[in-house]
Amino acid sequence: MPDSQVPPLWGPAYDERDLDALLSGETGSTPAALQPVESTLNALRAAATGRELSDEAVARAAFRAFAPAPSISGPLPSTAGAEPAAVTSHTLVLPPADHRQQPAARHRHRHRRPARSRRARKPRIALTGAAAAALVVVAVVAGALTGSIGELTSFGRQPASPSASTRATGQSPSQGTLVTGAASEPPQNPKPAVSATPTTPRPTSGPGALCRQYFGYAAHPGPGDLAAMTSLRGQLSKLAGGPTPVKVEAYCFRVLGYPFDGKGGWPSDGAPVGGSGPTGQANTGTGTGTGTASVGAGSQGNPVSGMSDQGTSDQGQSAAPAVGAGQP
Amino acid sequence: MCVDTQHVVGDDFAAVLTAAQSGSEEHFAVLWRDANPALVRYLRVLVPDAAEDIAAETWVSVVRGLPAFIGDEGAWRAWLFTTARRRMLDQARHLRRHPAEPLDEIGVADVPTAPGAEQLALDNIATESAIALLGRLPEQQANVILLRVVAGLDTEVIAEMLGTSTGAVRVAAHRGLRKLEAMLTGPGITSRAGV
Repeated sequence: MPDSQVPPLWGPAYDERDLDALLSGETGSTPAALQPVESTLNALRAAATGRELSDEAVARAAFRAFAPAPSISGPLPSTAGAEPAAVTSHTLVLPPADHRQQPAARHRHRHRRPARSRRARKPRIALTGAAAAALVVVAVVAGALTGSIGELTSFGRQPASPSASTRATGQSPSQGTLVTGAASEPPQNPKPAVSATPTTPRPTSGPGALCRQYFGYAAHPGPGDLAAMTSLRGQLSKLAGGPTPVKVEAYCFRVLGYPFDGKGGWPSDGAPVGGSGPTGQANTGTGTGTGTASVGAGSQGNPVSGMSDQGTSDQGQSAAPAVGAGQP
Repeated sequence: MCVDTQHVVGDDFAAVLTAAQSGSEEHFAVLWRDANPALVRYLRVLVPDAAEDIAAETWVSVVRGLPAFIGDEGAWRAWLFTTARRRMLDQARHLRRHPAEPLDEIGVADVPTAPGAEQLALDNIATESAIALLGRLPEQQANVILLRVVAGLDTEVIAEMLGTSTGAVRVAAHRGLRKLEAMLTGPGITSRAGV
């Protein structure tokens, strides 16, 4: 038999089924040509080495960091091929409490808090509105009371009506008499004396009275004072020579003797203005029935001294009778 | 002594997975010891310089998604190796953007000293040789062979992972095996894998 009839030896000694069997791990019928390959693949399937299992602690740490809290505990299944003893010696076991709380905290921060419903807001809004309304009512009542009380207790306020003016003039014998303006005539006796111009009634519409009323309205504004203040300003503007508040107030300061010089305080109705020196008239409230509140006489001469020496003591004494005189 | 690393958990896989999903660290360690050697071998063939790092990143990703995982052991391994492949691609992109010179490799000092260490050392040598041998294959062929042999995945799953057809996967695997056989039996090629 010639050698040429011998089938050729080239070509693969295995087919695709043998290759699939190698890939599937089937052994026993492997062609001889593929046995080195089979050994290589078996080496790839070999048991785990220590190097490949050395990072278990890292994996456990990652698990503790990101895994949820455990709820199942039971016996572990047996694992073949691994090296539990060697692995355990390399494993760093941390207390389990650390990874119990960490995910819970993350979950708490991860989710947004649910927004409150409008139903929950409604009582709060109603309560706030009621409180605001109560505040407004209290403010209104307090303002009204302050105005009425201010009318009663304001020393520098005088009614602008003629009847009120007459009360302040001391027409009644029981009324306290304000005798001022006797700066040129110091009192010679402590008794109630008649001033140099005793018969002159106190002009309630005079410049000093008008200025005191004007400042009184400005200092203690009350309801209904606007009209009176406007009329006062109109009268004072005629006297001051101009309607501007600056002129009016400058005029009043001249008339009243600059009450803001830090010595006399606020001018009050009935307070003697004018007068010069420490001996200025202080005939206040003696009930003579003859005196009048004559203002302006002394103020022309030395208004500052008159206020500085007598203004303080006269305010309290003269004001009370003046106010009390108006009472029925 | 060489034991197949596939399907170590076996029938208990569902219970182990459920416990791990519920937060049991010990059960998670069982899954890790089962799959990590194959994962590291797979990565050592494809990315020898960063296999351990990518494996660690893979496990972090797996732990994050573990409570939501649903499937059997095959799906678990497919998910694990798919995650590893994605981390590997991320690493490749990162290296392309930030090239760096690797430092010298630190020597392996974790060879177990338990009885049978000699045989284990021989097995390790064979494994190392096999890994080095597969590293000489084209990437696609080595990838397919490793996923079939080391990860134990089916052709269909591999095709889905790689985004190709099952026929292409089979062809790539067969070509790789033939090339491997040629390398092992060719002149001047010696391998300790067949020891």
